[in-house]
Amino acid sequence: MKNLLCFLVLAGSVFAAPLASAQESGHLNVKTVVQKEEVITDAQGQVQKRLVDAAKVVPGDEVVYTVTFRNISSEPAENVVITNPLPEEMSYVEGSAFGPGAEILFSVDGSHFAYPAELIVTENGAQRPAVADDFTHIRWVMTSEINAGAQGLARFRARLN
Amino acid sequence: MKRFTRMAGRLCRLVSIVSVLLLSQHALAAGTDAGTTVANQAQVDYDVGGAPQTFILSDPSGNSVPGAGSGALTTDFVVDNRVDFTLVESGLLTHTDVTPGETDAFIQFTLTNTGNSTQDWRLVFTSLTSADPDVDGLADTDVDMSNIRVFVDNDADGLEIGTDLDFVDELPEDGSVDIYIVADAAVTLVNGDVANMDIEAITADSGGVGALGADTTDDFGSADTAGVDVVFAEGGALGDGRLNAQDGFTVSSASLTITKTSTLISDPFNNTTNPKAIPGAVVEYVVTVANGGAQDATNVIVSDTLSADIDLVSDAFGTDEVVIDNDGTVTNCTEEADADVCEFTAGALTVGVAAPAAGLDVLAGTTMTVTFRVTIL
Repeated sequence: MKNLLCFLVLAGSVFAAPLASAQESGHLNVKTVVQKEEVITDAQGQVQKRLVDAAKVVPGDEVVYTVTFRNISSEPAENVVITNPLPEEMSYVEGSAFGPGAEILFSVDGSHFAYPAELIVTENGAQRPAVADDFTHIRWVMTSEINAGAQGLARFRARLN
Repeated sequence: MKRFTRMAGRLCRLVSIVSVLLLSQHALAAGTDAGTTVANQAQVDYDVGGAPQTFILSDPSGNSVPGAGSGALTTDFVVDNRVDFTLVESGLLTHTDVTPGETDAFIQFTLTNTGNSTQDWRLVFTSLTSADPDVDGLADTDVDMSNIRVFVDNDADGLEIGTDLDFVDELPEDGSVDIYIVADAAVTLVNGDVANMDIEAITADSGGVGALGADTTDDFGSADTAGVDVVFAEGGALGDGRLNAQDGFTVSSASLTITKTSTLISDPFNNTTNPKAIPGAVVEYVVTVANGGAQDATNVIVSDTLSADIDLVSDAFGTDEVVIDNDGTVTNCTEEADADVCEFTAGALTVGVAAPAAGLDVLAGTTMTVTFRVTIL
């Protein structure tokens, strides 16, 4: 997040001028929603889970981030990669990243992406395997192209520190 | 452009590291501050027809304009107020001993704010009764302390009776504060009395320095993503923002009992063999003072005004008239007004004269006997 915000600030002056006037659509429409899982017991006494607005979120609570992307063009989009920096205040919930047709990679520095087992963290001069708490970014690499009109989804859970 | 991006990336990483370090300074156990906006945004990179396209950032309602200047918004929520705290007995973890007549005795509690927002706490104390559960293993004996007051050491400089506020004021996340119940013990209280107390801390809104805010209310039902809502989580469970703790006072005092026995020693005819209480007979009195209490009794004075029909026997014990056995320590003394603790004047024997002698102490759990002899006139 920091990287991106910072990038925005630094890059804004370069990008803003040409793009502000253009505002032309790209090929994809990208949306992120934040929700909370609510456990309810229905009239039949069945326990059900549903996603609701993240209205009440206090430290220790988990939220669900869902990124949806839809190809609004007439051409297929190839090599689609979704990168989501984890908010500073949140910790990734281990094993929660999900995305149909995607290979899911993680990063502890925002530049090197790999499977969790391959990530190493250097702490006080010593190296150790990375844990969920260390992840700074999540990346979904779509294994096939997104055809015109098709939609994809990337989802993960994070816990508020 | 590539070079710029790489450079920007490096610079940003540096900025990020600094930010992380700064953030960790206040990222304490209590968690992210209430009111913090948590922002998230995904970026999608893709190619079309083999040609890389400008990335697209996500927006809560969907964005398809490429690049950083697309105006796409981050997906946000505001961190809500997790009211969480502990209230425990502190200081002396047993009852506080008081003596009858003691003023400004106190019991102590500690309140710790484990939530994620600065709060006030309103405090309410209650004198418990024998019908309430025991506190520190002691049952209330249905006596109460008097002049009960609450003082909170908000300024962390120790208890200041009459100066400290009676509520918890602006306690920040992870902050702890000592709460004192200060009370007086009436002189009518006796050894072994137990006065148990309960204190309730009720979460209140931060009311500014020196001012108690209104009780904090759970706004469940009107919760929203943008504002700061309240979740009562004290003790790790959904609650009501209230916690109680108990402590108490135990009355610890001396408890004296006094008994007097007499024994015929001799008469002028039978001497010491089966003596009779006839004029000229010698009778030995033993006055016993027992302290069954928990505190030492000091400056104990035993006075015995003799009947007009008897008179103190002079030199009954060598050159002395009185024998004092204070828990095994035996001292003799004389009837004259001198440096010892005994005096016999105008038919009254006084044992325990403090000046110029040192007065008599009967220690907790011990017994003192005073022995003297009289003649029947």
